Amino acid sequence: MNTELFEAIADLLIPAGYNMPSASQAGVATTGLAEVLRFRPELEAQIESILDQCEGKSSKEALAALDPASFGTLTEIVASAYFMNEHVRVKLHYDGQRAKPIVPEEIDSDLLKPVLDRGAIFRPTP
Amino acid sequence: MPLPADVLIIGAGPTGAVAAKRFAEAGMRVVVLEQGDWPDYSKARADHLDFELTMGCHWSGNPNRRKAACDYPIEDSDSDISAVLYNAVGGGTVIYAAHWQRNMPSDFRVRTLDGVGDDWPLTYEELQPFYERVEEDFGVSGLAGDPAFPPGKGPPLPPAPLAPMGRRVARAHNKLGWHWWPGPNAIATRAYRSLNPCQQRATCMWGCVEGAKGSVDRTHWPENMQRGVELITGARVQKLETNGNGLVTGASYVDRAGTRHLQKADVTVLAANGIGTPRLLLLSGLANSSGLVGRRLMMHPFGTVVGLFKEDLGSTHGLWGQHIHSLQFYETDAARGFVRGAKWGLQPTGGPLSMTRAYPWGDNTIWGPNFHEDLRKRLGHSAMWGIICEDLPEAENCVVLDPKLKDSDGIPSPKLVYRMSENSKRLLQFHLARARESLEAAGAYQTVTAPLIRETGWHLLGTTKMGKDPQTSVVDPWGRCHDVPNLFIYDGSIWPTSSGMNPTATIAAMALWCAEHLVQQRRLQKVPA
Repeated sequence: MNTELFEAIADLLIPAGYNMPSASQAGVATTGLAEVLRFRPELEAQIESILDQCEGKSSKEALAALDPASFGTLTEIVASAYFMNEHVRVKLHYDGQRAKPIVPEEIDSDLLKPVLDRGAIFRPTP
Repeated sequence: MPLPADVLIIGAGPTGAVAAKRFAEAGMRVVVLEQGDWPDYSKARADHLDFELTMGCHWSGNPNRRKAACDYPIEDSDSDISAVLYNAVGGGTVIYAAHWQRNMPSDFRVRTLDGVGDDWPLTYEELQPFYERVEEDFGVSGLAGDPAFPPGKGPPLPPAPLAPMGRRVARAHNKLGWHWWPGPNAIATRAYRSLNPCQQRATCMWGCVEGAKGSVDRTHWPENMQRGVELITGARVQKLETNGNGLVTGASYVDRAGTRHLQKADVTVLAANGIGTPRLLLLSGLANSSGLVGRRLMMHPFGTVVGLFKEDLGSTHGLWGQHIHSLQFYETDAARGFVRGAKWGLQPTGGPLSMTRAYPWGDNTIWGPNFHEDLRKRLGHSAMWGIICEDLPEAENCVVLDPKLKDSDGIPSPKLVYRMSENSKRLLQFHLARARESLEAAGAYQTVTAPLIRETGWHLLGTTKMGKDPQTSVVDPWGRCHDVPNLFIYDGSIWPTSSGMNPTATIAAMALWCAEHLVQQRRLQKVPA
């Protein structure tokens, strides 16, 4: 796999900015990809095929030339790898879909009142 | 040879679960054949790093994408919408979003009120006690008093929090004079029977790790089996067997080792959804003197509008599920240029990877120099209306047997033929426009209308229509096939019209309505000798 090419393409998709690392700085093409493939091994053949399509072109040309399905797979892999990076998650203040227990609350009666005041909105059985 | 059953049920989704419970309570010997297996919650990754990466694999709703051993391929190249279903103990409830929506009274009188489709052979008021009974079993949460429905007993559990998104939109709707109400969900908001309290992970459709969602593998089947119901998994039914007297004697099926079996029964109930049920009838050559088996397929065209807000709504989390619903534009107003309507459910939008996908963001791609800015605009700052549109029964929309495609056991696969009607298209466009107005009124500085995607055929309805006249229906008002007195259909395929509501509530209530009738009439039931 052409890691340099992958990094260059990935950085077009996710550049550095907003105090966030680029895709390559977040290890997308190396440790990130390995992590993605650990969970989705069937993507390995797909990413290799996509990068083969990109060979011999500039990263910009390569990206523009991808068909929609390949582009979708590529972006899914790059973004997955990026967001699985611990450093990225900390900067995003995102800690996964953690449990957030329901705190019981009374629905505000002032919020409900206008709905109730408007009355029934259904057509009754004729 | 296995013991004959009093009742054989084909399908272990919500229909089969509700019916099996009633029959077992009545002391009947019940055998259930389910081609799938128990859901594997070890593959539910909600509390793991890879959740967003893997959510669409094991829990994908499209059997053509999932390709599990128990799946059968569905030919859908002639359909605008791909079927979404789950072959397992629990059926569609394993992956549903658990929106719990009763039909409105007008849904049972569509021909009388709007001059299209057909009337149901029962009314809302007749079904109401059955809604109330099944809601106890499904652990439905919500708030009584919704003015979109006749008054009556409310759900057994309190509603989920409105969440910042729900409060914003509720205030906006109050200013607009539009309906909203706390969302009814088959999601436990506190510990209830076999259900644990929801933890608002917003992962409802991709394996509920908490055991909070009212899926019947949790709410019904364990108790059903304790009552003596025999549930056979990995059992793919090939054909319904008959005798010379026009009665069904049971079903032949193949297990996962390829061994064929025959399960005999006095009565057979089909609960295999709006595709599986007509497929089996067509394979068996049964119950089709009306010519309607497989016809009138309805699949609820679906739309989504996302609003972006400056404030943090915390919308990575919540119920997916719905925090509020709106039925403001549900009832027909012919001045709009179409008939019937749609229900809206307000939902969270999930984690960062979900902010980058083509659905719901469409052409608003995030890639490139604005990636981080756009990500921060979306993550936790977006809320979406999911819009369920009623589609009308059209004879040309149908399920047939594909001439070439077969499943792994050599059984002909179903083929879907489905085109959205002009009425559906106009209806959808109207609701998308109103949903944008709703979110803008709530303070959204930008709205994104999601592209129409094919994989939204969660609701499979209408393909073995219910009615009093055998010439224009397949089953009678209690699910008995007009042509075969001991063959019944209880699932959503018997619906004369589709409503614009998530159908599980009415599927469950109708299953109990039908099962109750059979229990009460059992002494008069014709059975094979």
